[in-house]
Amino acid sequence: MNKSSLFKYLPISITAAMNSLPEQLLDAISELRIRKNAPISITVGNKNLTFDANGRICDLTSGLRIGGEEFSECLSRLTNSSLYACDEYLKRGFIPLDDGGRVGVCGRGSPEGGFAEIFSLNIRFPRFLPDVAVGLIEKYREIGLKGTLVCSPPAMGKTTFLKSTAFLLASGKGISARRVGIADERMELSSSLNECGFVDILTTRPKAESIELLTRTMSPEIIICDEISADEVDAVIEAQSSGVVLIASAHCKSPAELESRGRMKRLTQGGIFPLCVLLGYDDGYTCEIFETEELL
Amino acid sequence: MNWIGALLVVTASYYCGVLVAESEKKRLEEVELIISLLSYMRRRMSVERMSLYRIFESFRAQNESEFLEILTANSGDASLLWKEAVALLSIDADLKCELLIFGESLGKLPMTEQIKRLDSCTDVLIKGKDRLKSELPARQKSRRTVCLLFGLMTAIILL
Repeated sequence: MNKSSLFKYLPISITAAMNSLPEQLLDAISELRIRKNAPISITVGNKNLTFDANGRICDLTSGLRIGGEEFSECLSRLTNSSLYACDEYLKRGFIPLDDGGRVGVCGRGSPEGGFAEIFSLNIRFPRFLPDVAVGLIEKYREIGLKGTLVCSPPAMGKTTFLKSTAFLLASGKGISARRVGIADERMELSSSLNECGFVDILTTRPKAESIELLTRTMSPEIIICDEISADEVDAVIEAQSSGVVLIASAHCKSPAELESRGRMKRLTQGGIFPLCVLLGYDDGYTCEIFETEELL
Repeated sequence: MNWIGALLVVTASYYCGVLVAESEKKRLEEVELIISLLSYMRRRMSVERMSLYRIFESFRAQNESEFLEILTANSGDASLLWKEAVALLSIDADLKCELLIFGESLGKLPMTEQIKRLDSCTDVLIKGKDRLKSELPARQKSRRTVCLLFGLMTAIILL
């Protein structure tokens, strides 16, 4: 899915302004945040920028805004005019898109879960950079497949890195092709991977459930999942003990940070993730591979 | 010759009466079609969580009407398409108004709320249908009688 295919969900005022943005900037956008009656912003690298109706980068006060009607039109397009069909996803804070990808939502919560009113949308522009994880594949070729934890603060490219890893492993690029299972709770990881090789994808189910199901039914050699949390620790340990290699990401600066997070500490112990990839941004995305023990 | 002319006038008027009476039946059929669409929507929404366009399309595969043609035009907001389609109906104004109110929030509500609105609209339509059904024979009869009387009067005047 490319950026222009996401334009069909946006009101004309936003697409017109975005089309006037410099092409280089447009290509680098990772997120578009639309807020009702507030400035619309884009995320480029680690910067949040606003733009006016003519596609010029400007300050917050003169940033392009949309009113309730346009916001509602956008929401209607994103949900295919069927908000009720997204109920279960909305309870988890996102709207899945027909052609892959997802939109984060925020607003006034309702007592039954989900939202009584939605005020802001975060459209993430999925990126597929197939070669970004080549370094990790080379490491695997050197030392064999090992459980790997990809660590970084939010929006530093964890999903993009995992997608590339899945692609390279499943399509046998630089390494013999492996059976890869993907536990994709929020439909972010699997877009663009459907037809790339030995990939079995389980979407929209809780990660712990998906990991267990994939392990039992698909006998994958590797399971890849995004943004692992304390709820999935047991499932991860269970899968690891069945011989499946896990490659996962976590919101943290390093594995040492996980040590201070109660149940998450168990992930850094027992050799579940012997390798660790640290992603960052320093005038460009950075990627370093370590033995986890070195960082603890 | 005059008598034959008079007979033709009376027959034509009566035939017009029959047509008007049939259009009364068409109004009932429209209400029945929408009730069955709403009940179909309820099932597909709550059980299969299908999108509105897919619901309308699959319902249209079993039922043909201009109303459904507009709903499956597949461009624009579903509530706007609904509004456009309702405008074509020849049903009573109170039922039309109910359908327009329902359409305003169509596809814009969470499941529980959407189903509540759908049920409430269906209830109003069912009551309207029952009323139309009970009134239909009398209304059809009165339309036919009025047209027949008009024909007779015209024939008498012409004679």
